[in-house]
Amino acid sequence: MFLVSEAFLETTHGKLGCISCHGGENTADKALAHAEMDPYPSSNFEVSCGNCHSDVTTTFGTSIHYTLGGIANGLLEFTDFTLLSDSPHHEEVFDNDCYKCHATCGDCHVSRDKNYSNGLVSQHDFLATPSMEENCYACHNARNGGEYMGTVGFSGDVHFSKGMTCMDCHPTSNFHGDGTESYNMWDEELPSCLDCHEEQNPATAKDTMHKVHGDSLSCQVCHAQANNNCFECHLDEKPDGSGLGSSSEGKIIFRVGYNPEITEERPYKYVALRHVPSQETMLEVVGDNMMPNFDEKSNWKYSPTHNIQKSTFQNESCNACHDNTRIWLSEKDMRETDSEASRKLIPALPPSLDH
Amino acid sequence: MNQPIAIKKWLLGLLAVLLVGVTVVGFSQLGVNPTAGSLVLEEPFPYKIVDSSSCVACHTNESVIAASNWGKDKPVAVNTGG
Repeated sequence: MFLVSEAFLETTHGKLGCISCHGGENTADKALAHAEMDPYPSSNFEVSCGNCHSDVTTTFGTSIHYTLGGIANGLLEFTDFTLLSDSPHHEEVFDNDCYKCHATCGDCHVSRDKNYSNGLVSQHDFLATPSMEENCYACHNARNGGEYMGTVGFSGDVHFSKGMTCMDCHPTSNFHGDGTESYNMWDEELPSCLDCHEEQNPATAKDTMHKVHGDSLSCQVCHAQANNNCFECHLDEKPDGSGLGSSSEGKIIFRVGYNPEITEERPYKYVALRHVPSQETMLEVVGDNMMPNFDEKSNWKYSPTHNIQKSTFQNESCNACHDNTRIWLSEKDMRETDSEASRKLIPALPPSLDH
Repeated sequence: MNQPIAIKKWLLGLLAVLLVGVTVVGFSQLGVNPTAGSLVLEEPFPYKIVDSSSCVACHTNESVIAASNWGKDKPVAVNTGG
């Protein structure tokens, strides 16, 4: 709720007066006071915040937290943008499924996200470092954030239990942008496990496990637990006729397969995977043949699963992984609604012991 | 040396020290050491302070805010799929 603390009024931001940022009228008439009031002054962050914080606002316009480039480009890879943007449902779908995650300064530093219960995190205090529980989790709750904090799947992440937050690993540029517009999150300067665990670098590691696997496995293959996978995503008219709503089926499972996109930063042959909510007919309520590229893209994606543990069931022994057919992506995992490209990630079994 | 002359010399000495001191401080403020002086003007603060006493009266009052229906229909957390 919008209760403001007396202490806030004594801060630099508080001394400006509410109207300085929010507009509105200084009157006891509630309706008149709120008539021209802007509840989200940072939606125009270049003006409202940029006057004092231009070091941040000059790059923030390129941040994926602002552009939502990862969501938009991920969808565009499957679909036909012209058809999508011409649809009368375009704005509605954006408002329901995208806008609430579209963050500006206030969504992280002052208030809870629109996705959450809204309102203020701490009676309008400006938090230099956002709250992981109140801010990050508001958008990242179903997958990495929830898995990290142990609210999704099994036990949480060992780093969480040691008191670490998102900001302890992710550099500020992941939130504020660096002036270059990223295609998706993989374009960002992301943290690496080796930033802290340098001794486990396969090139120089002393222990057998890290040495023999070299760069063929992502860290998550051995150290992540089961993650949240979404299937059969579909957009439909809501039963009450109030617009469109999406539905999908979630499943906590652990699958390892071929790396869908080998890059210099992520050269691994095998990676932990996650099924993303997508199927060819998911947008049929919007129009016909909305997903012309569907079969060219895999529904299983590289997963940087955030529920890391030193010991997992699959790293107990060599056989716990190499002979464990339940963890490897297989034909049995393929649904009729999956794309053809998904099948290319099914590894040849058993994985080679030749190392 | 008689007493009035000694006092006069002491006062002249004090005056000279003060003069040198004021000159040094003046130079440092005029740019020799710009961070030390208050003569260096800060950037004008871009925000005007606007009287918002009516907003404050309600928004710092717990019972007034608790009585509002705003946000009561919103869930504590929504699974965003994110």
